[in-house]
Amino acid sequence: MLDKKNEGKKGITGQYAVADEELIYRFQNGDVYAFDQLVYRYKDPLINFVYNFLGDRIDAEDVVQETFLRVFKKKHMYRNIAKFSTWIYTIAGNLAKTELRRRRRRRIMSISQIGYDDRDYDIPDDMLTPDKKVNSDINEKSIREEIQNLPAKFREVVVLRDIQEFSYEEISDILKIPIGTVKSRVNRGRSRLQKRLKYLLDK
Amino acid sequence: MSPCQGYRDKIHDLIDDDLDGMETRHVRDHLRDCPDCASYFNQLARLRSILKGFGQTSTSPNFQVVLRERLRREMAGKKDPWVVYVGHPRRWVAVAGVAVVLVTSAFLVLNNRQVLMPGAAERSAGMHAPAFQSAAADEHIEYVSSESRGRIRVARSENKAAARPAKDTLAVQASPEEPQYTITPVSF
Repeated sequence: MLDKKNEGKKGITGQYAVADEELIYRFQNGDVYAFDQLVYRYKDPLINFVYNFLGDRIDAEDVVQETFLRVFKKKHMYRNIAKFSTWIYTIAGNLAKTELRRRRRRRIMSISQIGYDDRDYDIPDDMLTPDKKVNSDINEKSIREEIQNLPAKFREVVVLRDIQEFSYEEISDILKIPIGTVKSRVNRGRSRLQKRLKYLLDK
Repeated sequence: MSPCQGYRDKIHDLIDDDLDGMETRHVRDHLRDCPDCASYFNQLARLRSILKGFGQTSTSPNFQVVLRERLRREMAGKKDPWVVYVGHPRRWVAVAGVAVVLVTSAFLVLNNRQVLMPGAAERSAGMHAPAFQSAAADEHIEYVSSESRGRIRVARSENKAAARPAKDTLAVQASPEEPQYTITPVSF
């Protein structure tokens, strides 16, 4: 049996001394300390994924909390035929999509509640020139906004591939869609971002 | 379709480092000859390196504390046999509220019944209520129904008859408006 002190530490190869699958197995057998280790390993990668997908820090933290609660409650549903990371990302992804749907419903409701007289109109500001928008070489805020403007199906694959650096095969496992579909969505998502952010990327 | 369209997907593969040696050389040759595709490749490569830097967000410092608290509450709610047996405390607050409303309503209904039908309780217990007793009772009549008022008025008139003084009474009670006179009997 491995030393508990080294469970949370990465080795020279960047891998943890104890695999995630071993930790979840221990947790399934009643070792709550193993669950703590999984939280420690996955809290930051998951917040990155969900935050970049939802674009809201507080909502993202809530979704990640809910993800760990699900893992805790449904631990026996994990079968050692898939990687633990795939399983937990699938849970987080599904919860994030649910949150997105909830937001859409809220938005529709709030629009329908606006009366004729108190309707507000947002006029898009087309007068902003690229140089006004850019504070430094790369305006992170603009890029984050453009990521949020991508359709959800492109956004999730771009985040998983280019921010989280998952392989196409892993993304296919997480989202339960064919690899070909993943590749095509990544390409289309990137191309859309490239078109919208040309003024920043040319610098 | 643009002649470069076929290269665009290959450019994504090149960025992903997903091409074999020969394909890589073929695409790189095209990039050297085509400024549009070269610009597209450079922009995508730049975008990719920026996006890599977006993975630096961390959870808030109290993330694990909050999570433990939520887990504790969830587990407590599930496993505590007392909670399972009696249900959630909120349910009992609602039950207590309904009980208070019912008791208050019952009290008010019973109270109103005594006001509307004075002596009902005594009658039901087999006792006779005094028909007319005092000025306080007289005042009480003002609030009763016409039916009971009639009955009580009869009782009052009987009472008045009974209270009428005999002919040879020596003391005469004058009306309230008139001054009172006392007649003292004289013996001859």
